[in-house]
Amino acid sequence: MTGQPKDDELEPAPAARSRGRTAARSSSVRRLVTWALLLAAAVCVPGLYWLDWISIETVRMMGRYLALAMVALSLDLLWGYTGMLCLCQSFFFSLGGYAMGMYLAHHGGPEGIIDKAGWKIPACLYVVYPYGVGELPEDALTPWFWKPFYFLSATVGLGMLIPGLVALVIGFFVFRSRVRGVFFAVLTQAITLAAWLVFCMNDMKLCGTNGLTRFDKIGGFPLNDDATQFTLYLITLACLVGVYLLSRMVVRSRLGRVLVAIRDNETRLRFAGYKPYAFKVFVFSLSAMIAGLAGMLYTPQMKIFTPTNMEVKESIEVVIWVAVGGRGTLGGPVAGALLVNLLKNKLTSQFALFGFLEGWLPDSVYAWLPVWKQEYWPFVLGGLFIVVVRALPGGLSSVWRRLISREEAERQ
Amino acid sequence: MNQQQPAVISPRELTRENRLNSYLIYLEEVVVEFDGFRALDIDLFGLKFNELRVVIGPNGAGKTTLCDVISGKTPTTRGHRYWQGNSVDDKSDSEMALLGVGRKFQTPTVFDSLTVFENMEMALPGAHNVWRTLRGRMTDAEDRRILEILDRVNLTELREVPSRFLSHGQRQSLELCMLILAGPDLLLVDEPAAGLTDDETDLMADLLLELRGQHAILVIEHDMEFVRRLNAGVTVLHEGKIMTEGSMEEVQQNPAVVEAYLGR
Repeated sequence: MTGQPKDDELEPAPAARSRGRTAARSSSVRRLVTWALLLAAAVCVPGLYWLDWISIETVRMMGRYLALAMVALSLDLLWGYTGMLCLCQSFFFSLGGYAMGMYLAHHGGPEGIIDKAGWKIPACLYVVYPYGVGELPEDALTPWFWKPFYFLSATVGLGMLIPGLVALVIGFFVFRSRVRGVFFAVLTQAITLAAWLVFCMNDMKLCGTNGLTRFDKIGGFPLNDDATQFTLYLITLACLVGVYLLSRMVVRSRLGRVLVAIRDNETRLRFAGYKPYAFKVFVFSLSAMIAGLAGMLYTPQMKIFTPTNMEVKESIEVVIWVAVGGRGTLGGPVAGALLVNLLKNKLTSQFALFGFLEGWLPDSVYAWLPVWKQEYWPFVLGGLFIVVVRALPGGLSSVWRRLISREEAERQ
Repeated sequence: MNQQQPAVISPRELTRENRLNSYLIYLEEVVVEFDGFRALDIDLFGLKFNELRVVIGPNGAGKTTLCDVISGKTPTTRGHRYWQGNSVDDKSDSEMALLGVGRKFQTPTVFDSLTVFENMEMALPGAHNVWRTLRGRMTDAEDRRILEILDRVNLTELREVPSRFLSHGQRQSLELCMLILAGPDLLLVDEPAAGLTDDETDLMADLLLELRGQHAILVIEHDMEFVRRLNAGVTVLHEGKIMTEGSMEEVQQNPAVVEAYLGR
């Protein structure tokens, strides 16, 4: 295949182990890389932690990034495979995040704020409680919708169920009326914005712009304990592997090929007797549930959850992770999310660009050398997106694929 | 071509009950208007079970609109559609497809990212809902059937190639293969010979002739030589109306048809 059409970068749904065709070798090599990546996360980070080379703070940060990688994976199912650019991901992520945040706030400090009904009012809610006219501090009540989140099992269930159901309802109306392409992107962006505005309102009794804080315990274990944080990292990693395997199962099934067919030509698919909207609603809900799970894992490792996590720009960042990693592949978005976030972590701090020269140059000269400032980060992020779109439509995984195919060509 | 010329029985010669019973698809007083422009105005149109029919007509005569109406893509402004005697006025395109209307578009439309084999897999008959496709496994019989059909159009070798790498003619063949595999009762084929080489045109005509008797087929075509090869009943559309129906010879001798094609 020497001729390279313009959409060559988009990977077809991997189709192994089906009769009538053979598994492509390049895909098996790429799978190896994905597993190597996961193995690195599973072995290197804990190993380095045990050797005391990295602090628990770094492990916590990596755990958060693994959760964000899950969000990237969920967007990839929509954008990479089904061709729907969705800007709702941060909303679904936050629904999960808020669910877990409410659980943690229930079990957070300090003790002693008990309402008339006998419920302990979460401290973060108590400090910003929107009193009605004539209400006194002792009239504050724990709202009904906070109560299910007192229990961990209910929280875990609802944290996935709520985003799933919200996506089901949005998807049903949006996809039935055949909203597509850029209109879908704009619509999902508007939904995210509207949800953000609602969650910012203090009257919603969701702690307004302050967000959910003052966490203390998760499942009885102190959140500030290193062992708890380390366990959370391992749980996040296990969930990422689980989500990866689930996504792989979906995209490799016939349903995965239907999703790619929707991306290619939805109209043609209808004439083949499929109802594309049902498949879109399904994958939209699935993706929302994955994002919700990611939000639930992110919150205890961030120890705060505020409406800023729900902003539209967060959704757009997810798009950049997927684009950088390579949409239409499963390993790509995971790698993209980890890489961009590690880069962000480095570049949103201030450091001397020529720090290695310190002591070698006279101090008066050294003081003149440029310093990296965190204000530069948005330019890097934007520049990264432009470079990927212009030069690498298939993201980093297409570079990888090209290297492999060259190697194979040489071998033959 | 010693085959007997197929007789086209005008719907007018039958009683209404008879029409409902004997036609696979039957259109009654169908009008389609786009912003006041009358694209289609058909009094009676019927296609029998396993009939091969060619629709010809100048550009803008409403040929593709006729296909759109039958396949449920375009809703009718007025009038009724009957499928095997049952009203299908409210059926959508995917519902008509499940009832048994298969459609081949003017420009070949296949799923570019999927391989030839996967494209065929999309066309397998059966339940097309989310759960079934998630659990869907291919049986040996289905696998064999797909390879059998692909073999007929020399696409077996290319079965693992993403279909975006296929030539125009191969894409036309693939799309027809997908239709054959789906096994619809009615095949709507829009300009199958457009842009094909002579060899490919021959293959296409052979395929359509092989299929006659297994499905009802409605072919839209401009290429008169191709139409003559199909040796089928012809319906002439002009300005959205049916001008005449009959065999190729009858139609060609009709002065109104000649005038419509050649102008005044």
